[in-house]
Amino acid sequence: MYINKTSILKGYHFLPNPLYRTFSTGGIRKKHKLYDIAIIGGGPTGNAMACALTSSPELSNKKIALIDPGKYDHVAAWEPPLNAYSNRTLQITSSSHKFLQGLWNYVMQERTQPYYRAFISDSVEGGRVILEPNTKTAGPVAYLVETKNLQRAFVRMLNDQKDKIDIIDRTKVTSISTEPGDLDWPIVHLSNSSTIQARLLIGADGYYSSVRKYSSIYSQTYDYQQHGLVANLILERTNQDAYERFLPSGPIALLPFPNAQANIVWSLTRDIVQKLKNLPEDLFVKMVNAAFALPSSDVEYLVDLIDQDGSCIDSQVDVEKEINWRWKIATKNSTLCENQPPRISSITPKSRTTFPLRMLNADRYIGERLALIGVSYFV
Amino acid sequence: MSLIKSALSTVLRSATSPIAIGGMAAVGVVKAVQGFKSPNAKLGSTRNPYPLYDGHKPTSTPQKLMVAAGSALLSVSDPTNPDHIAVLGDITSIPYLSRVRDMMLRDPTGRQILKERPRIHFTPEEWEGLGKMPSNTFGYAYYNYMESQNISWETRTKVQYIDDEELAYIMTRHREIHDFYHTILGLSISVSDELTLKWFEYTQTGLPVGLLAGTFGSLLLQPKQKLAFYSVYMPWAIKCAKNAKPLFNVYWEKQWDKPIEVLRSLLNLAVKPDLK
Ligand SMILES: Cc1cc2nc3c(=O)[nH]c(=O)nc-3n(C[C@H](O)[C@H](O)[C@H](O)COP(=O)(O)OP(=O)(O)OC[C@H]3O[C@@H](n4cnc5c(N)ncnc54)[C@H](O)[C@@H]3O)c2cc1C
Repeated sequence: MYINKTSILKGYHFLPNPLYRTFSTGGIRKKHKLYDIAIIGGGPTGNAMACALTSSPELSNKKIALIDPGKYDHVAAWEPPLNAYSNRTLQITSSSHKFLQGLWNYVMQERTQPYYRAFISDSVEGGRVILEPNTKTAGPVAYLVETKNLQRAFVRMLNDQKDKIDIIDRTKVTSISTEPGDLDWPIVHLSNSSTIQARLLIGADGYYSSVRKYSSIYSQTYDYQQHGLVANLILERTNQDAYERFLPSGPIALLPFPNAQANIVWSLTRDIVQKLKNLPEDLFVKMVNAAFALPSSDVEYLVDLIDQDGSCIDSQVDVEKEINWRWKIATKNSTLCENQPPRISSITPKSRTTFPLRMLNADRYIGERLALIGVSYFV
Repeated sequence: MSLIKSALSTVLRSATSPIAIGGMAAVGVVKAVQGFKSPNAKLGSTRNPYPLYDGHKPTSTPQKLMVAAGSALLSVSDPTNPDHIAVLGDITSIPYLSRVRDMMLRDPTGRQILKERPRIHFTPEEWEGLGKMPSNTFGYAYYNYMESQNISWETRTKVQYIDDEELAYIMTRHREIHDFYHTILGLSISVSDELTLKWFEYTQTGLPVGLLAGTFGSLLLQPKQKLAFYSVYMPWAIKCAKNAKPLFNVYWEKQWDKPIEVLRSLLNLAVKPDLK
């Protein structure tokens, strides 16, 4: 790591004890708390980094901080809903799962779902593939876990390493600067009016990353004009497979959870996503079943029948009857998708949420005394 | 339909003997495939090997291609049989029919037609009834057109090779409403008028039968007719088709007593320009 000459002369290449130092700029005396590593942002990526760093024997003598506006005691005390799963899901691939081995003891495993097969199909040409491990002994393709379950585990694991990390929660980074003078480490200004100075900044603060802004690393962004619609659903039978179907308006995926439940992620254009979010819940369930089964032209036609507020554009038309009619025609002509998931019977009330799908790619993932991880550099 | 046939035979008149031989081979192929009772769809395939509708002949894609090639040859070597060109129409339309279905699904009347699947059919009394309607009505105009051209609503050939009974219905409907187009656009069955109508149909439906006929059929025109066709009628047909409501989404059976001029303006249609 680059260390500036004056700091070597003054002995600042390792952290002095106590960890405060004072110096003067223009007559005002400032105090910055010093760290070897400061992680900005405690989303899944920042928390995973914090757990990895605190578990590493090589880094055991480093001083580490994690800064996030969230309430970590609340995150650790998350009480899962009884008969449902939270609608935000993360997919942990088997290699990530290996990396998170130590963490897994903190995860409520009965709420996770490993899966071995993914059925992928195309609604226009009818092509399909089944992704599965090529050996019987191979482990699952991935594990599905609620984001809140994972976050809870991260925070509980970090609580057990309290001596190795300072968790500065309920706090935001307001700005980052450097000061001319003896130490070139970035200075992080916090919403609680204190400042810290770190040898290495890790930016894990998401799409609007303050660390990326400070670094002036150029990033390209692109708005896909698409949104993800997520929901928690109850199936007619238990299911341990993942499904994805490509529709002209975007893919729809079904991710399995235990107890015959599943989460869906449906990518849609902005106007369609509003329609489907506002659709009455029982009709939404029928629409999701249709999206996994009917020819794409039928799905498009059915979606077109719905107005922005979720009502039908034509009061004469009964959407449910239209779905049944198209289902009957598709059944008769054998044009139903051959890779359908189990039928969905109901939806967890109020479990629909949407989020924008955007691309962001930073030109570089590292800069002087900083690194960008997670969504802060790439979505 | 007979246009493609006669056009092709004009072009290929010199090559009579190879076509005759090809024609005989084609008869064999078509007969063999038509006699094929249970296509060997793979075990577990959900493609229905049984007829989906009256007259349906389930076939695989290679079989369809053979039938199409065979019918193309047959329609040249045996131009008196209208069935061959209809078969060619069936098969070449398959990829495009679903677009017509989408167009119909998006329209309330189109949807009603798909649900109710009306067929053009008249008892002798019903037919004569049309002839007794007021002379400004669509019903009378249709009757008058059919009688004056000496053609009957019964002569449309059956759909056989489309493996989707809804699309098969759409193809049937396409054939059955063809004469309404003649009536409403004021087009006779002369080569030039028929070609003009083909371009109209092609522009509205995208079905390639119209384009095939439109392209080959124009070979039959005299030089002077050709000039009029390309400079006036064809551009008119395309423009008129684009501006008009899709005629597929018209419930023709409910229009008999409408004055034909009212119907034209409702559909945003104009009659063929008069060059005289
Ligand atoms: C509403 C929504 C729903 C989603 N649903 C799904 C889903 O169902 N499935 C799926 O796979 N993906 C989903 N995603 C995407 C998924 O959340 C991200 O891919 C994932 O969270 C990325 O993790 P991250 O840690 O890199 O960033 P983030 O999760 O964005 O974490 C960034 C963290 O930094 C903190 N932060 C931001 N600014 C500052 C600052 N100035 N100072 C300090 N801290 C700061 C934030 O509070 C946050 O905790 C969703 C996204 C959104 C927005």
